[in-house]
Amino acid sequence: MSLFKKKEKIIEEKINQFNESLNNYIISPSLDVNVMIIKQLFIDNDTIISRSVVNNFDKSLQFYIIYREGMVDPTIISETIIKQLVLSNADISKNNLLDSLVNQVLITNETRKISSMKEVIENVCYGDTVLFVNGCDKALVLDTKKFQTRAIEEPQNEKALNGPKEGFNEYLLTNLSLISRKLKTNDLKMKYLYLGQKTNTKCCICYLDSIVNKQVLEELYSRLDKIDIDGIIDANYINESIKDSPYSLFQTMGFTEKPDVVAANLLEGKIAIIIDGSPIVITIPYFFVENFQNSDDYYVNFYYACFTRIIRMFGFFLAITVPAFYISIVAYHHEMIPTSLFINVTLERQSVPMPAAAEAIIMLLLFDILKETGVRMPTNIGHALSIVGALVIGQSAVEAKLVAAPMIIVVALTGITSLLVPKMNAGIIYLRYVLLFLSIILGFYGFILGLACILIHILNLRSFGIPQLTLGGKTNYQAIKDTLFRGPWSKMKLRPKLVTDNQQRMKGGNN
Amino acid sequence: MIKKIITIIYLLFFSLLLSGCWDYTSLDEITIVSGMAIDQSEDKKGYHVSLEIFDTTESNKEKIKTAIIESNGITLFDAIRNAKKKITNKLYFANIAVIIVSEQVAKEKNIGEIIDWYLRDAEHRETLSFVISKEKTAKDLLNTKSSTNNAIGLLIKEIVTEDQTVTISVIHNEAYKIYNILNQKKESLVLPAFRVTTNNNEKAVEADGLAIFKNGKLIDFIDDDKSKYILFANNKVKGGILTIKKDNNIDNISLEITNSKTKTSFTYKNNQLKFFINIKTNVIVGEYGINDEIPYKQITKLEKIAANKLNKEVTEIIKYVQEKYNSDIFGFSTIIYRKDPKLWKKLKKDWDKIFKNIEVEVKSEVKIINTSYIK
Repeated sequence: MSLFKKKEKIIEEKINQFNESLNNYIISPSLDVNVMIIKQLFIDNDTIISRSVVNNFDKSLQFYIIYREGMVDPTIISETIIKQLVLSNADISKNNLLDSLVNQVLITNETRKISSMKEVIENVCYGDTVLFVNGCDKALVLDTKKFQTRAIEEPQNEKALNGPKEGFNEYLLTNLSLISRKLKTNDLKMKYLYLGQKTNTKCCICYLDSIVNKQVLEELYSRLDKIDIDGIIDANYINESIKDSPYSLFQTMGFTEKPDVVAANLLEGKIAIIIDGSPIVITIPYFFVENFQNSDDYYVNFYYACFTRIIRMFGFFLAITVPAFYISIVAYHHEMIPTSLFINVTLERQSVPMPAAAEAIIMLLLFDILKETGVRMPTNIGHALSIVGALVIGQSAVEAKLVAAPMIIVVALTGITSLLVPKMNAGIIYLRYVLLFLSIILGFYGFILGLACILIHILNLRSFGIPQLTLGGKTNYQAIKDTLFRGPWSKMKLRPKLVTDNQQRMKGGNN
Repeated sequence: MIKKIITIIYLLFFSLLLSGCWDYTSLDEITIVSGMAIDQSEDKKGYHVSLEIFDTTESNKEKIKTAIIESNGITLFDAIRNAKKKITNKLYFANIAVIIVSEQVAKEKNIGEIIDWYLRDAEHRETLSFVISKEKTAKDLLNTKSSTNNAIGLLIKEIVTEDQTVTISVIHNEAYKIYNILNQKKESLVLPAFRVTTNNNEKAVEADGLAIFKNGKLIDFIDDDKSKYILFANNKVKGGILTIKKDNNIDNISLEITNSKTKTSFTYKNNQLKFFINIKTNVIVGEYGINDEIPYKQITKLEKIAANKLNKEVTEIIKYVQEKYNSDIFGFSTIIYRKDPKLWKKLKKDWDKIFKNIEVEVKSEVKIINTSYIK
């Protein structure tokens, strides 16, 4: 153990040394020194293209540009940078070389001054072109990004029948544009930050300044500060690094792929974290009811929305309880079944070899295996799988008297209802088995015990200090308008009390 | 954190070892009982019980069959445990619907003795129904064939529970109600009576009036044409048919009762008890003989005829019960006890004498709310 630790320490020290030296590299006024450093930094990397440029009219104006091929637009580089630098005969003041270059020569749309080599690396790796000028201790970053991104498509995991259908893609700026197009106000703040020592992933924190809960924002920054990870590839890396109760089965941060959902959340005073390279946007704080909410709820008639939302909640309840409930009544509390149903179930269970408990566990596992196979397999084998799943396991198993027919119904019901609330996949799968085992051992007593424990756990959950679920308390209309039911928009006068202090959503809306 | 989880898992494993599978009974390890008949055993010392069970080995999805298991025992519980000698699985009583008591047993033993076991046993429900067999043995009722239900027990249960809204011929008393009535001491119990008839050349059960009890023992039966008016007096009518005659012919008009309410009150003056029974009934004309509009005058006339008939029949049956059985099946004693406990203390001693001579005034009001005539 100690040996490994020692080795680790040595490696760590070396990395730190390297990083420190990188920070110490500053851009020197001498172009040759800069070129040498650059060549050393990007040694063994053939995708980095660098070349020197000299002005035609004034040979003392020497430049050096560096970019990464495949991530830049070559025509922009040649037309707006190289051509301009070479052919410009503008009167350039030597005292203020960089500024006058930007003002008079370069015609790229975005330019920035940087002074450290670390920034050079970051920008070159992200598709920008860095321009070194002889005699300046600063370099210019020129926006020349161009790379392939996925088109804006409807997200597969969050299908909506009504309302906006566009979804995020993997490029941060596209995602930000999708959000800011919906919130055309200077109140919308977007702050960049970089996470991950190796990936240097660009993240953006969005919020509406006048509504956002400043405490939550502070808490978010302090938690993001503590992230110590080499790479952020997807939103979940951040989620698991900073979420409250990290071992809980339930989410305490929201995930969405839809800009309209993010915009609606921002309007409620929440904060969005957009991560470059991931189409998933995190929203915080997150409430338990949000698991059952869907963007569709807000775009259709509210009567219909109430109904579907209740269906979803009921579906979640069924998904975790049905197998446990069935085992409880079949193995312990026979008196709970109406007589005629009781006789039918008894007849079905005759000459089935396994006890109901074993049957339930095997069939549920089998369903989960089928489900996982269905997600991972190539689509053109899907038919074979559905035939095997439906015919062999369903029908034939019952006919061969390996499994009782009611068990198939129970498994089917569980399977279907668990797909109703995709945001709680992990919770549903585990809780189902936990409740099932409790029911096998203790019957309804264990079942209720398990449900009580789950409820207590959910009530204990917090999302950035804000309780996920509250029971009772002040239950006026404004408190429940968007929980179990979805009130009409004209009556949603206040923002959620728990999220923001600035509750007024409509003029003259007091309650 | 991980230590905590491991400890919890360890503890869970220990709990498995400690508890075992508490009370786990698989469905194929039980025999479901649907009905039970109680007769006297041949040596007249104990009981002979017949249990109707669902025969899961013979049944299939299309047809569910029942079987009968008989056994003897000194007490009821003894007899039921003796039945296990003949079958593989334990008998399961939570779904039993009906207990049929034979006339002989009901006459010789207090019904309270019989009901005791059912109330004490954990598996039985308090909503269990009790009926009295008019046949020689109670088992005869179980040996009939049901054309609609799988089990005779369930069939009888359905007949008695739906009776008050459809046919109004029996008063349905469940185990807990019987217990309550028996504890009132002076109030008397009535139970549905059943007999065996032939239906389509097969034996079938039929509800046939009421069995009248006194002091917990059966004394006589009342036919179902009279029992209807006992239900009116007891405020048990929720539906059913009232037949009247238009003129002096036989009954040819059917009035369907939509709702009916009976209010019973009493006065005590000069050591004389007087009971007032107010019956308010709403009816629909269901059968009139001629399919034509009924004029308004005729409607008021029909209402009067029906009210008079109710008055007459209810008064008659109360008098009949008072004189012949002297059994307080109308619950007069309970009404006095609830409204005037002091008076009841005074009357309690001589209740049997007093009940016989109570003057009862019946006032009924029948309202035709719909003639259901369609032009």
